[in-house]
Amino acid sequence: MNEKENNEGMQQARNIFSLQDDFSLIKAFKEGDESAFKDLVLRHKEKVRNLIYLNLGNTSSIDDISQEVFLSVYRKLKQFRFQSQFTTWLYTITINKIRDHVRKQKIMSIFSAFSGDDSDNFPDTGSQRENFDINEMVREAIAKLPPKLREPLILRDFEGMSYQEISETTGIESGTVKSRIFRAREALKKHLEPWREELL
Amino acid sequence: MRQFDNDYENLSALADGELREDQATIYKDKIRQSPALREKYNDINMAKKAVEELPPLPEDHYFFTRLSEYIKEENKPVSRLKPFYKPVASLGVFTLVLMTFFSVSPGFLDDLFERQKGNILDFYTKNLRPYFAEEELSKDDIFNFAFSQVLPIDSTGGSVISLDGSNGGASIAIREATLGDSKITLKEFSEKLNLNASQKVKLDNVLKKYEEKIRKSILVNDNNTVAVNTNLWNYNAALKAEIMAIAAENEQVASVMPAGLLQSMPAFSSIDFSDDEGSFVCINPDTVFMTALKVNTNDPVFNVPVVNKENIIKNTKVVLAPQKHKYGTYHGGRGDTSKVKKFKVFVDSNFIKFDMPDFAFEPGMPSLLELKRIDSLVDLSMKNFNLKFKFDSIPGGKGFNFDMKFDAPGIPDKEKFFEFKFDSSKGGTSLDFNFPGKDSSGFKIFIPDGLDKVPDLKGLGNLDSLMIFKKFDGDSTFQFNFPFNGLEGPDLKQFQEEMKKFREEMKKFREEFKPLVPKNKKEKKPVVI
Repeated sequence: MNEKENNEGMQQARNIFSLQDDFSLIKAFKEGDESAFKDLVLRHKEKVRNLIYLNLGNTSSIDDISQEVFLSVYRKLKQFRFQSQFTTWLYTITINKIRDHVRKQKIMSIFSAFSGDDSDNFPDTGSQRENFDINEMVREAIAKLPPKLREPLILRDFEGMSYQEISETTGIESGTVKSRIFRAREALKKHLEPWREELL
Repeated sequence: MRQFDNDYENLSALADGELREDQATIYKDKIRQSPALREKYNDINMAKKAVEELPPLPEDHYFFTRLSEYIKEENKPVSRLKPFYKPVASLGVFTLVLMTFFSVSPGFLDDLFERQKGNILDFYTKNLRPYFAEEELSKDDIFNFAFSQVLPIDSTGGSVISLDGSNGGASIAIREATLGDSKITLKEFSEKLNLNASQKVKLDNVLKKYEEKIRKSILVNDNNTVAVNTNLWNYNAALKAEIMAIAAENEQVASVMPAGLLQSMPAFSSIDFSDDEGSFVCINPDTVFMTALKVNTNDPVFNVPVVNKENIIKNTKVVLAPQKHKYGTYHGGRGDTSKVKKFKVFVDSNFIKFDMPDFAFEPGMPSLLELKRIDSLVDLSMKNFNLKFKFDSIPGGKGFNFDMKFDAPGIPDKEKFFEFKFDSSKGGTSLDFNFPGKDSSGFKIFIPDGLDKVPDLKGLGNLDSLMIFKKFDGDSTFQFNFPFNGLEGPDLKQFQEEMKKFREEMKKFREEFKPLVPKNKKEKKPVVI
């Protein structure tokens, strides 16, 4: 690694972790600094990828959807009005992309029933696994939740968003968010009951 | 129930730190006091913890690298034209370029096509050499070619190249041999004309001269091409003319020759043929075409035998099938586009034929019309030789059948044949005459003592008697003195009686069989829905 690359890496690290917040980066991007977008991506890409992963329950489409999410961000970022958190806006885009994907998968599943292609539909059942993995059990249990319960649960417990932010991201009332998160946890508890001891 | 739900949701919110401070205090107290709420709260926390503690996915270090590639694609300058119009615009520009190019170089395409055509011509006509090896064509073959217009192309004589004019045009065919391909043999001709030694030598020389010409006219190569010189028609006419000139030295023959033939003979026998080049029809499994070829007898490969030449010529199945009528192209040779014309090609499973176009004949050669005229004149003068023997084996080998064709003014075409069956296998000689052209005409005689008792028949194979036969044509009378019109023999009566019986039996059978069908057949009623 040469000195120039080393300096660039240091600059990135500073931008990502300390010096710049999301709004500052967006402003810089709007003013023509393309590198600010890179910082935004590096800062949030893993959150987006995990959000997609937990919502879909499999890894096959993570890359495609997350790339689509950030392409959308790139196209629309200059119209960002600073009226909400960037993460709220970013997760809204992500949730919409996930919903689009699930919708397409449902349509595809009609045809895949004939073609025998079901590789991207549902996760494997834990009971068929020889190697027990509690984290995998949890992911599978989350994937089995209906989307309207799953989305607020993940945004809350994995992304750490407040009910208000979840409400803004998903477009549902804050009270409904509270209710759905509770129901999601109830459902999750039922799914995970056999592994209660491992979880405690 | 609803209250419980509300409490539980609030417990869940408490776990998330989403309750107001006062509400949080209340629920913390409730949890302390109620084991059920405490248990529910623990359940909620268990579920919450399970999600919170999920390990994240391994980091994707190349995420932005891939994303930046997509972004680069996005940032590429986009044409103002909509994608739909791009191919149209490209085609338009391409057309303009082509138009400009061809206006500057108008002969480019012609040159290109000619070059390609030339390459194909070179491929198919490379190393063509004579189909017939030296001395392979006998004098009989050449003589037969003169009058029957066929050449045997295999050792068994099963296939022939034929100058076939049966469909009205002049054509060359590669086909199976038929019984009618041998009208008269050289031996018969010599014997019937009583040729003297000098005339026989002269005839031999003529046949030898044309053997060489014919040999150079049918070529074949290793690329499965068979090339036939269109001069073959002219050679045939000239050969016929020269042979008939020799025949005309016999005064008796000359006296029955048509005047037109005697006048034409010198002209046809003095045609100056170019030995080295001519128009060739080239046939191969891919195509049929005509082109000018120069036969190079000095080429080292000229006399190298072609392997499997018989198979090549027999398997000349042009891919123009299944449509039988197609066209071949004629052109004057490499680089010559002035004569590109089409000619009809006919293909069948064991037969290929094409109409000889008039332009295939070179300047100075007789036209198709002239060739047809000499053919008809020769045919006319050869009537007396026109015996077509059809030897059908009869059990015991003591007999044969033959068909005889004769020509006489006033007799309709369909009646110009009669069949003769000779059978000596049954203790005597049975002679069976039949006239297919006349309805049920024929007669049968049985001579217990042998054929000698019918003296008039003895002259049948004799030229003199045939000439007499011709001279008597006018009054429709045969020298055989057999009745020609009608049939009055006892065999016919017997045959008619047998046929009558047979018809009656058939009628009776039909009457008996007829009722069986309707009896067993029940009438079907329509189905009411």
